[in-house]
Order: sequence, then structure tokens, then C-alpha cells
Amino acid sequence: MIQAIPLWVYYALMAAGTGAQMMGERKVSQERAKAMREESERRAKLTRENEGSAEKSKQLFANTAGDEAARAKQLETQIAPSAAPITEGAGGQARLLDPNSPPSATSTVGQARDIFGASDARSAARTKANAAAGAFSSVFQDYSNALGRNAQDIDQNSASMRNWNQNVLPYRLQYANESGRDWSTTGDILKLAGTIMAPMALGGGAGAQTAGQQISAARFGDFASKGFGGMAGGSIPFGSAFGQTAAGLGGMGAGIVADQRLQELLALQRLGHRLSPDDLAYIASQENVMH
Amino acid sequence: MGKGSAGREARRARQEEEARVKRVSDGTRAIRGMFDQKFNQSYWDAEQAKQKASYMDDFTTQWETARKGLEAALMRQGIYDSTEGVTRMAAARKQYKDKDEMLNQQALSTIQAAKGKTIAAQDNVIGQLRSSSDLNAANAAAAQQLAFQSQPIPYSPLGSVFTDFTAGLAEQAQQERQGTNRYNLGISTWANPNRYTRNVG
Repeated sequence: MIQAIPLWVYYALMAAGTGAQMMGERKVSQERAKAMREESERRAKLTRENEGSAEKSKQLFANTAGDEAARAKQLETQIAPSAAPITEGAGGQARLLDPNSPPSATSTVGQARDIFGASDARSAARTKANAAAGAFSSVFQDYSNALGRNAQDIDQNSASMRNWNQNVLPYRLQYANESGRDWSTTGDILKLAGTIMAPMALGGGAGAQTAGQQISAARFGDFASKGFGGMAGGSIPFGSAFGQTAAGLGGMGAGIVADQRLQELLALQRLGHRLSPDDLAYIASQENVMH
Repeated sequence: MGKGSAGREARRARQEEEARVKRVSDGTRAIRGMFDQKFNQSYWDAEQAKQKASYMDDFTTQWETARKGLEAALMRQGIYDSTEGVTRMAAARKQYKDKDEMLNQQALSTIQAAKGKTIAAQDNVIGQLRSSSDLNAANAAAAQQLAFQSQPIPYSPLGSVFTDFTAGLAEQAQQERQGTNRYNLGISTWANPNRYTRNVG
């Protein structure tokens, strides 16, 4: 004879199964959150770096006018022409190119100095103008190089973010999804076990063999106790010793069935089902018997 | 995919990406370092000076020739020792300065172009590194570019620099020989109302 499984075992299994599945879901959530947090932190870090690069680019243009003026001075020095070399005559006399030493009295030192000075001034003005004209493109060539570097850095970080999202994050999320599997499987097993035990714990249930056996035994005993041996076991002679024995067994079966009905009703009552007056009366009668 | 293999794959993917980023970052830093070390401002200043120096021999020779021609012309005209002579020499001197400045600008421009090419080469090498993530190949390419970009800039000879004030001198001399071109000195006497410069030749 198979004893019914206590209801609390069924409940415990189902609760444990649900708990395990919740743990599995929690684990998945935790791992997913971890993966996303990591991605978010990486993104924030790279974004900060990109912003730093962008800020550097912005700073490049903060003092364009000053940079241009400084570059103009620099270029002025770089392109400033040298004076024509002063050649000396055979006697060591400086030639015309020396403004301090004109060759003859027809041209005074002052005149020569003025003429050469004016010429030098024009040259200097020209040099300055050329330097100023070239400063803008020169400064912007340097800006362009620096901008190129900053753009490279930003692009590298963008590529890094893209590669992470394309190549790493999917694996991280896949791992996160798999990470709760142990708990989930445990939950499934526990629930399966609970489902298998359900008929024994709750009584009845589809195809429960043990319950079927109990019912058969009960019917046999019922019939036997009432002397309807011809129905359940027609070969048993009415009033025979075997029939009496069978009647006794039938009484036992009836007892099992009665216990099972009581258990079913109690279980339904605990689960919150509203019982019919007959069922309540039955429970009361059985409790009276037990007491 | 099981949990274990998913974890392994995730680790592998992460390690590969982190290693790739590190290789690219290190490589980029190294390439920039190599280029910055080689092609710094003092390198470009020296290159600019070399560029200028490469023109100086030709330039000086042309100047000497032109100066001598001008002095000879002034002497032929008898105005060597004159204000006009000084003015002409001052103009020549200015011409010298202008052309010298032109050479400086030419050298500067050549250097700026070379600088641009160097930057482009550096970008190219870094671009290769980003595509391949191969540090060794990038280093080799960087070394190759360093050598290539360091090659001397080809010399292009100067044209005639001082033609502006020497072009007319030969013609002037010819005209003076024929007595067709003389300068009126603006000095009058009763005997000789117009005094001209001497024609030499």
C-alpha cells in the first residue's frame, strides 16, 4: 500500500522550485546589470576622454589672433633678408653698398644713409607684410595637425566603443543569460518533482496509478462487504470464509478512500477553496470519528 | 552554448578587445613619439637653413655678377660717385634683400610642404595600425616613413634672380657706345650749355 505524501512536502518542493527560478532570474539580472554597468562605465570613460580631446581642439582656437600675431613675428624673423654683402675695393675702400661710407664727396654720408635707410624700411615693411600674410596659414597648419591628432583619438575611442558593443557585449550578455541556468534548472527539477507528487499529495489526479489502485481496492472491499462478490469477484461464494476475509479487506479499502477524501477536502480547504455543506459535514463527521 | 563556454567566450572577447585597444594605443603613442622626436622644430629649422644654404652659392654668384655689371655701368656713365649712383645701388641693395627674402620664403614653403607630407605619412602609418592592430608592422612602416621623409629635398636651381636691374645694362652700354644714350648732367655753362655724361666704350 502506498502512503499519501504529506502536503507540506509538495508545498516545499513547489516553493523551493519557485525560489530557485527566482534565484536564476536574479542571477541573470545581476550579470546583465554587471555587463551593462561595465559597458556604461567604459562608455563614460571614453566619452570623458573624447570630451577632453574636443576641449583641446576648442582651446586651439581660443587665442587665434594672439597665435597669429606671435607666428607673424616668428615668420618675420625666419624670412627676414640679410643685407647685401659690402664689398671692398682693392685699397680696402668700402664700395657703394656701405651706407656709412659713400665713395665720394658728391654723395654725402647723410644722403646715402637716407637713401639706403628708405630702401631698408621698404624691405622691412615688405617682410612684415609677407610674414603677416603667411601667419594665418602657418598657424592653421599647426591647428590642423593638432586637430587631426584629436580627431584620431576620438575616432579610436569611438572604434573601441563600437568594437566593444559588437564583439564583447553580446558575449557578456550571452554569459549573463546562461549564468542563471543552474538555478533555473534546479527550479524546473523541483517543480517537476512537485508536479509528479501532486496527485499523491493532493489526491486523485490524472493517471495516478497508486490512486487507481486505492480506488480498485476500495471498490473491491465495498462490494465484498456488501456481499456483492459476484460483481467484483463473482467466483467467491457468498458467505464463504474467503468472502468474509475479502469483506474485511474491503472495509480497509473503504477506510483508505475515506482518509483520502478527508485529505483532499482538507487540502482544498487550506488552499482556500469554498467547500460544500456536504463536504464540511463529512470533515466534521470524520473528525468526530477520529476523536 | 553552455554557461562555462559562454563565460570563456566572453572572457576571450574581452581580452582580445582590450589587447587590441592597448596595441593600438601603445602603437599610436610610439609612432607619434618617433615622428615627434625626429621631426621636431629644431629639425625643421635646420632643414630650412639647409634649404636656404643650398641656394646661396648660386644666389651670391648671381649677385656679384649683377653688382659688378651695375658698377661698371655707373662708371661708364660717370655717375659712379653721385647721388644717382647711390640711389641705383640702394635699389640694387633692396633687390638683393627682396630676393633673399624670396629665398627664405621658398625654403620655408618647402619645409612646410615637407612637414605636411610627414604628418600625412604619420597619419597613414597610424591608420594602418588601427586597421591591422599589428604593432610590429606599424613600427616597420613608421621606420620606413621616417627614412623616406628624411631624404634630402631635391634641389631646384634658381633662375636669373637679378634680371630686374641687370637686363638693361648691356643694352645701355651698347647705346652708350653709339652715343645715343647719354645722361644730361643739368650743368650749363656759356661755352657748353648741356653737359652730358661720358660714354664709355
